[in-house]
Amino acid sequence: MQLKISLVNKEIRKMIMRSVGWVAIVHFLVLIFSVPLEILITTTGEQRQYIRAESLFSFHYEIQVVLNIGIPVLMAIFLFRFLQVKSYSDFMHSLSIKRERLFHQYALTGIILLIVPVLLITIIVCALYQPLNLAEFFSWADIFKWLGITIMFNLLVFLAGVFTGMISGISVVQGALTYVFLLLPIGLLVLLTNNLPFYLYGFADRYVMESKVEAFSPLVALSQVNYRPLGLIEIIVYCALIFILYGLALWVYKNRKLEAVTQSLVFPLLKPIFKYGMTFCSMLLGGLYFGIKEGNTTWLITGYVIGAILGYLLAEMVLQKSWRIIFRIKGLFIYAGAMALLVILFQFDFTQFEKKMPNLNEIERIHLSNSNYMYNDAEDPFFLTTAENMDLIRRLHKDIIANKSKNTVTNKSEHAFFVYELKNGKKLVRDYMIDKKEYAHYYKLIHESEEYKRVTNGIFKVNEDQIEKITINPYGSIQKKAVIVDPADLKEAMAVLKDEINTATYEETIDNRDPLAFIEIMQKNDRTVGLEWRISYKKFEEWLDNKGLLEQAKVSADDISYAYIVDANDLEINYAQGYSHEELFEQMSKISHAIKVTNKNRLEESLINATGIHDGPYMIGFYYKADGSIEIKSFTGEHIPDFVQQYFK
Amino acid sequence: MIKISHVRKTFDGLEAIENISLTVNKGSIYGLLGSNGAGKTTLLKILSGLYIQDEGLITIDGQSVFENPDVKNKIFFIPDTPFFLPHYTLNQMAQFYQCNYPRWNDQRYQELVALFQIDIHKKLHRYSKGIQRQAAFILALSTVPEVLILDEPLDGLDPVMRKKVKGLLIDDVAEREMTVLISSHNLREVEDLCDFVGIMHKGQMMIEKELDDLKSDTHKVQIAFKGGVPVPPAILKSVKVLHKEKRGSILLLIVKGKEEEITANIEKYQPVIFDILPLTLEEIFIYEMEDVGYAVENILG
Repeated sequence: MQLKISLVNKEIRKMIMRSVGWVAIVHFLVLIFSVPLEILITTTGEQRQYIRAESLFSFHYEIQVVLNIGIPVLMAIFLFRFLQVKSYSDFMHSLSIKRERLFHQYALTGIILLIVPVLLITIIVCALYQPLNLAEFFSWADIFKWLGITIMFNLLVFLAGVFTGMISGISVVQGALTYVFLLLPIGLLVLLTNNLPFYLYGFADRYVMESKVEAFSPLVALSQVNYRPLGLIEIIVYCALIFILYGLALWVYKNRKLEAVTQSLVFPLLKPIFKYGMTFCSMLLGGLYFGIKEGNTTWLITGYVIGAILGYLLAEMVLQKSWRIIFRIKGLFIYAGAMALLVILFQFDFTQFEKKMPNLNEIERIHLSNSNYMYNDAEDPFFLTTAENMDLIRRLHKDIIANKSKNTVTNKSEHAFFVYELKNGKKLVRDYMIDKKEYAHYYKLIHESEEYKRVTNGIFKVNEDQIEKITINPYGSIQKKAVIVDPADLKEAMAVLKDEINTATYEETIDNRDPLAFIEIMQKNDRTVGLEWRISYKKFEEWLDNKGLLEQAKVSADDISYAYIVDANDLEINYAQGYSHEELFEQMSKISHAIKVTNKNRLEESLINATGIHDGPYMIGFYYKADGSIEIKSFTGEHIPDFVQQYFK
Repeated sequence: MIKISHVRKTFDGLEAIENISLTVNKGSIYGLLGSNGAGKTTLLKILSGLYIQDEGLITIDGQSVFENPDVKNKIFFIPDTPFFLPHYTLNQMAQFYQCNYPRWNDQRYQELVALFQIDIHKKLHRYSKGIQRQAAFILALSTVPEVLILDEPLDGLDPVMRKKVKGLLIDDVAEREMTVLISSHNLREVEDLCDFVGIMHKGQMMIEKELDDLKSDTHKVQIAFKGGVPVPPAILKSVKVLHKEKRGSILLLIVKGKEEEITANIEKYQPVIFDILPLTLEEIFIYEMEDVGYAVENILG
């Protein structure tokens, strides 16, 4: 009892309840409507069968998000209102209570007032659990997970609000700054990763953005909590932040000067940080908006200048608490000077970012592909580990860096995405835009290596005894397919396919002509491995022919009635709004200078050489015999059939 | 005893208080005078433990005030506009103070409420400024403070109330040696209350005096000689003259010294007219400060 008397000031508790009790009541009432009542209504009515609830977050999720974001900040603002009104602040601090005690009492009461409504809702839901047979939708554990996560986010946002309340002297600024703080990590990350590729050659911006950036902002994390579960580390960090913010807020409060009430920022030290921080962020935003949208340096710099000036003005307005401000240009010049220096430093690669490359003996394994998605999103990304391949990749990488100025971004550019996983557990990730043709000699050696073929082709991971069947689905608008089920045939097919892959040259693997079919290898464990039947796989074609499956395995001239071939320039194609194959075919049929192909050999030649990407000089429209469906393809580069070349000469 | 020594305080680089020292003895009433912006409120807020000084020492009975509940228990500060918790009645405020001030005297509270006749169940923010100030006095005196700090306390009170409040203050000072520090921009308002007066201007203390001394020491003297004979210069040398002014044939002098001595010295020259009059506090300051060279009239408003 002694402790209670010394810690809790009864009259102050009464006062807090009188001033912020309503926040807890509103919280409770809205929650009761959005969770227990919603459960009651939906589970007792006819909709019960349609409910797809996986947790308590599924009930009026949007309202819950708004509550979790809004209520704690409201609580923080109204609770610590006494800090932001001069006479109130003077009154509270003339009492013979130490600030530390005042803080504990206010902050802890706020925490209790945030927890109690959530706890009551949990109790109500628990009471409904058995009678409504809610086990159908979620478990007991889900209820307590909801309780824990909701309380955690509430406290985190609340203490962020309390902390900003301590450094600010205006309630509105307190509220706004709270959200700025909670969004700043992710905002800064997005802005920096989008701007850095301009300065650090090889910076893997897309890779960084794919790497769970949501976790960097509690606000973003909490708004996704119903479909993106929180990781353990995230939870630990957030809980640690709750305690850190509590301690930090107390420390700041003890050092707060009361005379600074009604100023935007109470501590003079924070003013330049805020001002130049704001200028910097809005500069990056300007660069992002203009530079990335327009994609050239002039616009990038224009974006920076406009962004920086706007941000600087806005920060000055907040600090001077008026939009009619005296424009102190000196600060902006100092800032511009500092930024110029930074850009120059980047030009000289002062971080050694661009040149950095691990030594062969430091590397555990390397991933090299065309896209970061092959690494970020792949369940089981592939790696190369042989000394030859790792050495080749390093040489390719060095060559790319050496040719930095030549690797301009064009429509032929492709990503070269490197991930070096080092023996010390670190990673080095780089992303470049290159014209792969320029580096084909490296790619040829790497892609033709036994290791590369083995790790990038799922077929090598298939256990041959486990195969149920192989289905060959021809590309094209046709219904037929070939199926192999005989165990002996399956073994043979696998051997032929593996041989085809192993002997395929690099040039054959980057052939842009459409593959003939999509092959599915179905295993008994229901896992399916897919691969394409490339045009170069002649042995497989022979094998199919021997087995009498060829007719079913690909589209042949017999499936096509006729085809039109036209010069692409004669067609009006609306790429922006989309176009239908039927309309295009209609157009083709009306063009006088067109070839109508009916000859079987020519149809066969056309089928093999056409590609589904419509960027070649000639377009072809196939008319399918079976159902009259249309397919439009095009011819590009060296794959234009001779008869077409000659006709359009 | 309040001791303030070499205190400085700046706001945003502007010096609000520059090197002020003063001492207020237990059981005395100290009047802090000065125009708007002189730094009075800042000094009072530092003394109440609201602000912390940049330099110097402030102690009450030897202990510093800032973040020191033991000392703050004994102090009560009434700001220039009294503050009450939002939507609180006088009774609720009394309960609040009772919980926060261990020396609270409920009997005293009842007596004071009866004396001022304020409805204890009406929300205080609905009252006029004057009544709010009375409420502030009721609450302040009920906490039985050892040190009462008042910022412009008599603003907005009618003369009857002023007298009542002054009486209460003097009673408490006399009965239990309460120490009072009052700030005001108007000397006449507090001259019958204070025994010490300090005048602040632009953050500095210009003069500090004990009033009884001043009053008995400074006199206004009017002299004239028969037929307009000029005043013998010897007179001016025999007494300490602060100010001299000629009005027709009458010479007006502000003189320092004991009344008897001055009378004796002047009567030697047998003037036709000789009056010796007491000065108001304001006049004393105006003439005192002429020495220093400030236009005090402006300072004291």
